[in-house]
Amino acid sequence: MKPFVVTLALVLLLSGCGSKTDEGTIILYGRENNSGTYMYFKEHVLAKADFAPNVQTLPGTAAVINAVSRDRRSIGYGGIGYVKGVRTVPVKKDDQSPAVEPTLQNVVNGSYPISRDLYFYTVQEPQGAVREFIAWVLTNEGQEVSEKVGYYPLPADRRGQVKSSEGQAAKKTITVKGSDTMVILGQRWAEHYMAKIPGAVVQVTGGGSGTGIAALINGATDICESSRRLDSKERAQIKAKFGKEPVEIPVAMDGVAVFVHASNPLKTITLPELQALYTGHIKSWRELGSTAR
Amino acid sequence: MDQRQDELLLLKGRPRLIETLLETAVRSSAVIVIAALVLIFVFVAKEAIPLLTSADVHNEVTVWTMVRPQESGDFSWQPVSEKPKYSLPPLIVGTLKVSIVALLIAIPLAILAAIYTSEFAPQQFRELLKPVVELLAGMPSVVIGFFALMVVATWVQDAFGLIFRLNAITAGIGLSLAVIPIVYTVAEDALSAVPQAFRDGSTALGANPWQTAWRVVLPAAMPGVFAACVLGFGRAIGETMIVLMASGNAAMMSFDPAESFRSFSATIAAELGEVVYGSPHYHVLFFLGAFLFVVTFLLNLAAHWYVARLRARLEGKLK
Amino acid sequence: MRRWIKFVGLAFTSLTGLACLIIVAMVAIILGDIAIHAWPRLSWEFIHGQPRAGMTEGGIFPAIFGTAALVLLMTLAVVPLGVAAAIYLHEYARQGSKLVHLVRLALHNLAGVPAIVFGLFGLGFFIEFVGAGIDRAFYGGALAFGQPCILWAALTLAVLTLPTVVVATEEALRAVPISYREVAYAAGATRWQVVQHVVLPQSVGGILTGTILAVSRGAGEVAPIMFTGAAYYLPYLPKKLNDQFMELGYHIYVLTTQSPDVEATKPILYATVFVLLVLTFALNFVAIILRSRIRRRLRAA
Repeated sequence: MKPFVVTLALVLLLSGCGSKTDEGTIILYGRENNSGTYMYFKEHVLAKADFAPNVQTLPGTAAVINAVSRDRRSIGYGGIGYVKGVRTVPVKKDDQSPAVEPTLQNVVNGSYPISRDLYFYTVQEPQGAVREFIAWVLTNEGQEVSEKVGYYPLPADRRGQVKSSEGQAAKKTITVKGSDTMVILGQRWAEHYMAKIPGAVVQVTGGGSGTGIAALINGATDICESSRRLDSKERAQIKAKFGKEPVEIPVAMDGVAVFVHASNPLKTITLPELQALYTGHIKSWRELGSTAR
Repeated sequence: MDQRQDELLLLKGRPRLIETLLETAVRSSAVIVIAALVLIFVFVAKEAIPLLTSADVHNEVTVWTMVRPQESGDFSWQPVSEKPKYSLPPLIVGTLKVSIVALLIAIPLAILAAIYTSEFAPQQFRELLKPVVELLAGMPSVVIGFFALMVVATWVQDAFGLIFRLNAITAGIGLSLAVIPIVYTVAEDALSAVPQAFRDGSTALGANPWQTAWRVVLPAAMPGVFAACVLGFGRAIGETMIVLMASGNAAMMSFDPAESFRSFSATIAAELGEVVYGSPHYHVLFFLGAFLFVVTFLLNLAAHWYVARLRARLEGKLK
Repeated sequence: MRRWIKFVGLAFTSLTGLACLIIVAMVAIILGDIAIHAWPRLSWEFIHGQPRAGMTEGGIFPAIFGTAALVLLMTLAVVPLGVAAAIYLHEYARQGSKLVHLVRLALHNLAGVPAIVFGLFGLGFFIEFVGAGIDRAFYGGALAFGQPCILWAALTLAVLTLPTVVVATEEALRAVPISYREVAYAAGATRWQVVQHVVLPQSVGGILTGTILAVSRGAGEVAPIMFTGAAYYLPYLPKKLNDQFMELGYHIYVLTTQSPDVEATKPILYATVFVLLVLTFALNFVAIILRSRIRRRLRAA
């Protein structure tokens, strides 16, 4: 009897020390370190500084959105294509700049400060079936698919490094691996392409940009989807293994949205604030000027 | 029947070679079982060894840097960074934190239920109860993790007014669902193994059922019950999916169960997909795996020893 | 004083009964919650349709097929091995011998190895060692078996479920009365003949129990197959041993964390969880009933 009572008391005690005092605390959500979105955010928003240790890392933007949608005090970041059920916050480059919403025009014309290209990487100039697939992705038809999934097509003048060579349609299975941000896009492309070209087989898996790049280096995939650019270390590894530089093909555009719980009245956020937030220097909603609790 | 006898007699004349072959085949399968365990250790340790021996890897990380505080002064797990940092202490604290919460919930529940099933429950009830609890053992951990993430996290946050939605309490509750069946099964076996003579003797001396259970049967079965707890602990520290989905995966160095944490197994599962074969990060992850293997192996040996002690004690007392 | 003892006794007894109730309630709550959310989405089309529109519509047939194929391969590997090991332990070995002791120790420990360590083993041994070796020897270095595929995932799961099969088989062997064997030996049968004609036919129930439990475990584990073969979206069903495959448990994990539209995929997610739960519970249920029948026979004998 006694041990049971003691344990019960311990449980209640421990639960009591669950920090409920400071109600303005911000809960930060982010991506796992194998994610291109993570890397992009680190490089461009945090200026390569480390994330604070209390950022909760979840394995996928959908998980981040799911978490933020249920947590009043939270804030998260992720690819625009996934954002549903949470409020996106317009971003200002700095205090003087205007607040910019993450929309198609703003991403394409460059006014949204955290937008990026999404890439396909291959270890050499795409040939045969792989070439056909990538060529199709860069056509108007292929680019329209991006909009269906919530991404933005590349402006026409930035496409078309890969031209289709007539009648080389797929006889082989094309493996596409990598970014979780891009996996739904890749999957839709695969669906449409296979419907258009009977006999074509494209298989798509996620796991994070880092996973795709690792697969590319290990020789386990034809195309790597990546939501960030390869860094010099990775390029060197590919060069060392395959003898040439990897081929980088931009295929879509994306904005990294910052979002909060639907009830959070936060009006805007600046890039310096975002940086301070995710490196652990801003800790409460009051500091951001929000009444969120 | 006669046909059968004829068959047997016919076979009698067979060369002994077949018998020997079959015996060898059967013995080799037993050896393969041992080999499997050894191979697991060898191949996981093999990829972890470069952490101890390779100079290349030592440029980035050594066992010492994993244990001492990082240059910034605190412990940090940032393997993907300008300067990669691998600190073990937050992972150890995180794993222990959630295991303790899970055990605090699972052990009382499972042991009390085991006592009920083996001492107080009527016969038909026992036949019904054991299967139901064992059904819980059949629940895939990904489903438990899913449930913890979607439902339990919100309940706990609302009930206790917590700041972090994904924390050691939520993950601990989910984890306890996975631990309960193990503790229950082993504890119930231990309690049932106590000879009826013990109970009869106690009743003859005037004790009622609960006194018998609490003061005679339970103490007699204690090594087995303890073994159940040890096995439960082993399961708790090794569980992956529940913790991966419900812990928040934040490598915070904190003993507060209401805060997020990062565990060994979830770290391996989350990061293994990214690593390039042969990179220091790859070797660190295998090192974590080898570490987990050794700890659970030792825990299993301890449990094994306790059960043997229980058996010896019960048999010794009887004789 | 006696009244106090009686009261405490009653309180204690009810406390233990309450513990049982709580455990049963936990199972019921989880089942209930999932069933309620899954019900609107369940239909025949869900079971045998392909996923469409980015996993927001359609069915999960490829995942069901993948799980079935995976588990079938695993069974083909683990049952012969497990049954043979159990036969050795119970029919051939001298009890108390060193080998028997080691095998039991190994089994006991295999059962306690964390699932993710099996994943590491699958990666480090089957894919990087055996698979790469096969590629070098038979494919001239081209990538065929040195990559995640259904064969390695099935073998990894086979090692994971080995203890289950061995333990259940041994229990079944023990249930066969010694007298049966003695009669056969007296008639002049050799050891293997006794096993083949007397012991095994009687143990089929127990072996089946072990197989079903192993299948249920294999269908539910995700950590070991995450890096040894499971994939998120494959346009075709696995046909060759070195194909990847979709799988129910992995699908649940991916949908929970990476689905394109969290709200739209929630019904499908719940429905998938329901299908997996029903599958594993049904299997476990059958195995438990089989096992209690065998135990009843053992007690009667």
